[in-house]
Amino acid sequence: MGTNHAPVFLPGTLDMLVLKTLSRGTMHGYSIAQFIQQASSDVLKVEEGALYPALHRLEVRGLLKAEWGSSDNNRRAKFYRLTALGRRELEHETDYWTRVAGAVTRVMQTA
Amino acid sequence: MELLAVWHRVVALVRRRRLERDLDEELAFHLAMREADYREHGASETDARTAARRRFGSVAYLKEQCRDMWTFHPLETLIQDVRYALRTLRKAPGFTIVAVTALAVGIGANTAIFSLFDALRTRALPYTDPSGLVVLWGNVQRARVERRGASYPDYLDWRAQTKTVVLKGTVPTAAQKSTAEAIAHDKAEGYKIVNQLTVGPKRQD
Repeated sequence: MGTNHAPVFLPGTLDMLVLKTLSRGTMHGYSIAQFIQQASSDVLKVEEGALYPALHRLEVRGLLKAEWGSSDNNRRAKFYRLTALGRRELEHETDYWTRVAGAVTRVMQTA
Repeated sequence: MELLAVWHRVVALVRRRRLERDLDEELAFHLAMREADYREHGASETDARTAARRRFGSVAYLKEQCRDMWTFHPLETLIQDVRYALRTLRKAPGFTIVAVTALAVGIGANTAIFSLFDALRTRALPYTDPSGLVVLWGNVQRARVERRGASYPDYLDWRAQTKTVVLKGTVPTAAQKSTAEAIAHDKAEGYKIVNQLTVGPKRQD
């Protein structure tokens, strides 16, 4: 198991990261994990055991749509796409995160 | 989107096997990609595979989590329990026969007795005011005070004379088929019929 995990203390964080990743385009699960890892400079290594339940959770809620397609190396893979509902949810989650993260930072910056 | 989640579960009930296969394939793809990645970074084939699998964590747990999202878990466990119970019963036929017979006899006896009881007591008598039915009789002094039956003229007298209750009509006793028959019988015996009353209308059941 990797030593770095996606943050667990805010349960919706991984969902939010996934939504954000998919707002950049349609990807399959592996690309999503890779993107998050690279964009966070290797700080956040998404554990696959968390990624797929999250993806399915979001799909069940109607925030994502899944389709089978072929990957770069012509293997069959499931691609995920953000829905309109997903886009709206991303905005909400971003607002919430910004508020909470800002608040935590402020508290931590007090003497 | 609670409704959507429920809909997914309903759909999943039907497409269960396909969903499982999809999940398997998706995970296999991810594993393969991860392996290729490791190999690109210089690991040997077996090393890459074990490393990839280790990073994947517990595949079984992950599948369980995904499955949780598309099952009616309580319903499925119930069905599994029922199947298990049936299998166990089939393995012990002697016990099963005895148990089933006992249940059948018990249920059958109860039903029979209740039907009987229901027919005799709880079915309302087919008159407009069944709770208002009373039995009247007279007392006569013979060797000691005895009851005597009531006849139709008795009813008329009582109806006329009583100041405390209102007698509205008569119903035939078990011994008579109808008030008309009772009246006919009394007529034959020589009683004088002063009035003929109509009995309260029979209730349509």
